[in-house]
Amino acid sequence: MRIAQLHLEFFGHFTDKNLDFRPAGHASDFHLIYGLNEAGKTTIMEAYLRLLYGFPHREPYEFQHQRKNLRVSGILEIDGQPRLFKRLPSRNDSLRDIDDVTLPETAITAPLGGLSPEDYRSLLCLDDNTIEQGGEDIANARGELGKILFSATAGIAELNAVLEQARAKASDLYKKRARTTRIAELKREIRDVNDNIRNINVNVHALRTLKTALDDARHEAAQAQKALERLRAEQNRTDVLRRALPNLGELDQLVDEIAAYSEYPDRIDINPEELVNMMTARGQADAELQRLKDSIGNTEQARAALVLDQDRLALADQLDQLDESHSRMQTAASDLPRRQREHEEAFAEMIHIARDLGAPRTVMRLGLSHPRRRSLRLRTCVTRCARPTRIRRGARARSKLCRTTSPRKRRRSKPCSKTRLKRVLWI
Amino acid sequence: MIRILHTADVHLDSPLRSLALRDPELRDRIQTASRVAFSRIVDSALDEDAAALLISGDLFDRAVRSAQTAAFLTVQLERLRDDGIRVFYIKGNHDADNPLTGELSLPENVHIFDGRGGKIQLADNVWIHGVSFANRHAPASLLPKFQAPVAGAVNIAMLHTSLASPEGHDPYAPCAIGDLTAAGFDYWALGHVHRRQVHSSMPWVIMPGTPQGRDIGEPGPKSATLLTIGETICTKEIPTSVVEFLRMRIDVSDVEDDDALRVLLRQKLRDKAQSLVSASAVIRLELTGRTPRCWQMLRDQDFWTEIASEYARETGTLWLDKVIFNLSDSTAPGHSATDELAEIMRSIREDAHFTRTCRTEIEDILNELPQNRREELVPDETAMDRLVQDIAGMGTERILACMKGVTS
Repeated sequence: MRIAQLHLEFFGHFTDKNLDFRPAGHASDFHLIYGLNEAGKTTIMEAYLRLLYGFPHREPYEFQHQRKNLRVSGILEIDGQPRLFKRLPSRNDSLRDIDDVTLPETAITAPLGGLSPEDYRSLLCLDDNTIEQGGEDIANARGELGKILFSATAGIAELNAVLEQARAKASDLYKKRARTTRIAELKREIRDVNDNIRNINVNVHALRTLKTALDDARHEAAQAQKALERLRAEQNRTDVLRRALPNLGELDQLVDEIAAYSEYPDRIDINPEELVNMMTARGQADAELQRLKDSIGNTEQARAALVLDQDRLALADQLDQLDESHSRMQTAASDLPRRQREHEEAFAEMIHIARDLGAPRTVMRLGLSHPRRRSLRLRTCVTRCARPTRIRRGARARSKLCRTTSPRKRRRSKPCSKTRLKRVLWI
Repeated sequence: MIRILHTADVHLDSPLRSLALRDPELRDRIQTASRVAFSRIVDSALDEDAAALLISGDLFDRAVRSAQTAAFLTVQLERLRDDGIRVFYIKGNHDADNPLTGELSLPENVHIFDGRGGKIQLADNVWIHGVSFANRHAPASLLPKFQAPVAGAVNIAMLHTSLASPEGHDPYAPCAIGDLTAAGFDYWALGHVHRRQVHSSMPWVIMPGTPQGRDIGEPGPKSATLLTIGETICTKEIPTSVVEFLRMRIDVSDVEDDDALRVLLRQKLRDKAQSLVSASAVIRLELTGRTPRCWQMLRDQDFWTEIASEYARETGTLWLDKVIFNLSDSTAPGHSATDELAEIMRSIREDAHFTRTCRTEIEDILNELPQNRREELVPDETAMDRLVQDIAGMGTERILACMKGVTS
């Protein structure tokens, strides 16, 4: 389709403005419409769009001619054949031919390939803004038309898929304000890492502060230690004083108490142990004294109980004589062996002499038997004398044990019963 | 025979930067790399029975101000003290700018030279000279601050300097190699530049480089330098880096199909793993060449990145930072719809309006990022323009590759 002529009969500020592009086939078929601002370049373009698609309900180009009077016509070459089309502002049957006969819309839309007015506008009617916007749309294949055009330009529909993939990848990497992209994840990670570093790291300034704080704290601790020691010492002193306080009261009391005894000596020079020993000894001595007193009493009682046997008192003289005889006999008895030996020697001398004298054997036998018999008698006598001696010796021994009674009385008194004797002896 | 260990630019606790660090296993292995590298230097000093350790500046990093860093350093230096090893330290631009330096209470075996300079006798005939940075910038040479070398002795000078720094960079105590060699010292223990370089051997002028590279910009194995002072001075590298950063370029021009590419990737990565100096390496892989398979590879770059990453992990020592697809199509541009589209997209890319739109979007995303990262990514206007261009270019290629993939 080619435009050969555009006639703005009543449109915008134009009245009966005819643009003739001449038939095709000249050296150049490129047409440039230029003019100052507000000259009507856009109005011409809009008029052309009206010819193709009709007047919109709200028409901004009715500022000079009333809407119902607006009219655009033009010659379009379709498949090389020029055809004149007229466009009226009526709602229906707005497209007419050269003879003012109503034409169906398809008479124009068919050669346009069914392109909608919006697409036509954005595709082929580019003002400065839409050039930029549309160019970007095409480059980014955004928007339905962009995609179609992109595919159409490249000639490959599959590339859309490639673009989609690339776009998905890109938004996986980064998308504004999205929270799941890689960049967002890494941001979170780096924030965590930084937090972590901040938590575990000690930087120089912190170190300096900490060092100063440490020195201060050490100094303070030393001061506190000193203060503590001082307070402890003071506390000890106070404790001692506190403990001593009741004693002080007691002391005062005691001083008052002993005031009455001021003339007493402060101390007695005596060994308390010795005193105790002495007291013990005294107790023992008292007990011994008592025991001996009792003993004396008992013995005196026993003595008083004794009854003298008058008959036996007479025997005392006889005993004395006997004692005397006994003493003599003892002396003689001790002398007897010597006398006997002398006798033997004399007798042996006699026999010897008798033999020397040549006396007869009978004389000798007689003489010899005689003294032997005498001697036998003598020996018997000695034995008899020894018996009373033995009796006396036993009595003497007994009297020795019993000190309280004189041996003499003891001998004379009746012998004590055995139990009595024991009590006297050991208790 | 006196041994001295020389290092610089330790940048303690400055983090390593690589996409490979997203792998938690690698992260666990190397996140303390700068510490491990420093403790290796201390180990070496003990093993070699060194008399002293020289630290030629930038022991700390400007951005790292944690007290834990100072605590770690103190422990390590105490290890040296317990073995009677002295430490000489000059402050570099990073140290001078870091308040941590002022808060240190280092053991008594450490001598810190001040900004006025000085000299200390290490042994009968060995003197150590040094001058520190007094503040962040030192636009003038520090050379005049050095005292004259002691006659008849071995004189070692410590200096943090950018040497003759290239135009556009801030000069840090600039000076010429010729000035250094003419100053009469026997060994210049330099610091500041992170790449090891022996500038002269008569006398020695050595930049030992950082003991641990931090990103792909500081590639290769890193080391400290061991001096042995006898009749003459001998030097030797002591490896220190826990992990090294490596660029690796693989030409895929002759690769015919996916299987062949797999085999090639696997083989190259294995070979690299075999020849590694450090315990591990982070690899930035660049696939180059003209190939008819350009579009397929660009389309499937996620897949190939994953494959390469898997092969790297398989070696047990390599970790993939990222793969750069620097490929060109060996087939002549045709007249298919996609080719036309490519042409259109190329022209759109050059359109100022499109650039403005891109910028707006990038700014939107940048606004989501923390302030310091934003500054790192886009320090100035030119960087922004470059970023827009790069991203638009990469995006175009990527989309085109995907579309080619659909149509071909």
